Amino acid sequence: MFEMLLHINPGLILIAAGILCALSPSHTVRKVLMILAPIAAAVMVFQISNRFGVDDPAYYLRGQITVAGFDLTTLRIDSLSRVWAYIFCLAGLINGIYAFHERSLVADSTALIYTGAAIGAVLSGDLLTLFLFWELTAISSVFLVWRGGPSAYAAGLRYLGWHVLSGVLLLAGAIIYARHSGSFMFDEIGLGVPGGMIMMLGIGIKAGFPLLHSWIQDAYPKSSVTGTVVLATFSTKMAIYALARGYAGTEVLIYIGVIMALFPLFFASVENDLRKVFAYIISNQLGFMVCGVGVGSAMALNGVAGQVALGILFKALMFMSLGAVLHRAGTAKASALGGLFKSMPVTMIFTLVAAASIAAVPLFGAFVTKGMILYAVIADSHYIVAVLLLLASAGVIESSAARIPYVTFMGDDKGLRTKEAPWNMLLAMGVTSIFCIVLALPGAGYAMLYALLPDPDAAAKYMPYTVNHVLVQLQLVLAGVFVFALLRRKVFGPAAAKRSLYPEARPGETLDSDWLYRRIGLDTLKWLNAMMARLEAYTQRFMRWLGGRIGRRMFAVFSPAGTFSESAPSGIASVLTAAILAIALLLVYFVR
Amino acid sequence: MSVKKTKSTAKAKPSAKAKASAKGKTPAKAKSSVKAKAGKSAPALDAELHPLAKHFMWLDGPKLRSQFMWIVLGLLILVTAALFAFPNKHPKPWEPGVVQFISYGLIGAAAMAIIVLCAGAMRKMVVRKENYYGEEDSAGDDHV
Repeated sequence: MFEMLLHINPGLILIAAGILCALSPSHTVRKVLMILAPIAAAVMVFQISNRFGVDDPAYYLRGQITVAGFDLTTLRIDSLSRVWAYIFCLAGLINGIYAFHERSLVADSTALIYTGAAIGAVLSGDLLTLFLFWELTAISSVFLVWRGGPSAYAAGLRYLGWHVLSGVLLLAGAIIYARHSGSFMFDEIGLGVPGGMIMMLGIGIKAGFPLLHSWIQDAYPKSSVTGTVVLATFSTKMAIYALARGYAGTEVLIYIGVIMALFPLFFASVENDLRKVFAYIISNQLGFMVCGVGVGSAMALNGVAGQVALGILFKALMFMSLGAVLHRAGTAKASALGGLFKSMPVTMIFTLVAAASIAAVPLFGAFVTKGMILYAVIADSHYIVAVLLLLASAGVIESSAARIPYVTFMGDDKGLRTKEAPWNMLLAMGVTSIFCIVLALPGAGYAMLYALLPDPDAAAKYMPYTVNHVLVQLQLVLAGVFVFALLRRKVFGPAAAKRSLYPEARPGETLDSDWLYRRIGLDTLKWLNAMMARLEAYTQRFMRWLGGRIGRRMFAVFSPAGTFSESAPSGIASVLTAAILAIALLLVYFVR
Repeated sequence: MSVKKTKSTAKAKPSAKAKASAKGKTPAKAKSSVKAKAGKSAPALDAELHPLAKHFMWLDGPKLRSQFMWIVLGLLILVTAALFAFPNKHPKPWEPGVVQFISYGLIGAAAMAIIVLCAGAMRKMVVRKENYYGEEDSAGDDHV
């Protein structure tokens, strides 16, 4: 029995727990399942990887079955997928704690199924299994978007559309690839093989490539408080895994990654909804990962895996903090918040931990992983790319590290007095904060993380805590914070109404690439619809006119009062008869 | 939801229904938005502080607010000075000569300045009124 379990994809445990959740009317049972299922999956990943190792394909490829003539490898726990599996299990556990207060059968069950599908996807050994889990993540997660209320319905449909398209492209590419290679195995693919480009496009939708990214900023902020935290964890990181598995070293990804790291910062700077601001920061962080995959060296992939692991934690932490603010204050709009540290000081501390982790401040989160990606980019002689990534790394301080904590907790006191976040939210944020700090501590701290990276030997060569690295990173952060504070000083204008160079938060809708289909596309469809309606009306009128005219002519000829019913002289009748006979003879002659 | 928004200008506490009709929302939805509480002054606001926050009120002091920038600048100068003592053994190609000691600071400052100073132009280009797409904005409502 136990041996059989070692062939089962651990993601299926969470999916089964999700189905049980859907059948259970008891809130307590559902919450227990939400806590225990990720732990059980993590134990399974540990057992399998510990027992069979992660280096030999003869052992780490498991769960082989044949379905409809296709050989599927449903389980692969190697050094690359192991990191994703562990961090997804941890994220599932934290999400379960954070959503402990929520009494929603749909949210509980779909969150578990979504988590299970994501774990299943990163542990799948072939493209067909990947596709099945890939689509399951789309179908299960859209319910979390819809938990945002009636007005999230349209965003959910758009989200589903993008994700189904992503899956369809993945499947189409996989079939073309399998016809060429003779196998559906999910190994290195690249752009040089048939189907490779189509699959990368499908994966790129989920990874938030430029112009394909808008579903992130559209759907995440519209979901519920707990839904956003779950959503922000899995889909995009699953796509990064797929890129790392299939497209490591594909140079175009370096440039795609740089664009992803830079452009969201400009959109984030004008956005008023702080959850949407942070959705842009997700795109920025994904840019670093995509860039690392593009470099493709052992160090770069270590950096990507490490950044995914810590990124999931600090991004979840920031969304949890903003969710707690939204839950208590009733808004996450920058223009309505300020001075909340007086009511929610503990939440503020967790927000600052998330901010420091994102900004790669020494002793926090990304400090031990982001440098790896930069190191690999420089080692690959992409110097301009490295400088642009440094600019992106500094730019992220504006939105997430400085603006979100400042505007929410320290800005002008708007008189909001609330309770501190509920205990379960504080517990989830506390656990996540501990991981963000412990995994970045010198010595045994980051060594624990590095030991789990795809190439631990290469990772061990990277020393994040050199005096110079600590100092330059502090210089980068302090310079950014200094300019932030300088630009916020109100020194312009008359004494009574002084203003700063920093733009004030104002409500508004930020147009992104979704404008192309939400405005241009929709308007074009409406215009086409109106034109079709007109065409239909004109066609009907024309047909009515034509029918009436033909009818009248026919009536004039064939009716009892028509031409053919009139008596004709015998001479004309004989000519007509002769003409008909001639036509008949000609037809018989030529046709035969 | 447990929010009290206190403003000295407020005269009376409107009912949920009145607020709902004023905002064009249903009463159930209005329940989850911020409540207005009448006639609270600054001392009354301070009475509602979180116990932990009381120990950190100095963070909100005008002196610290006005001098925060200079504290950061002081730290930045200290860090930059320390970099002269611990230089990078392998300067990057974009760090010739003395630039290697300030390059990260320049990058940090430049990135922040570019983003903030572009925000005005960005806002004109890409920000429109809230119901631009004709969809109700749900961000801000907690449906839990």
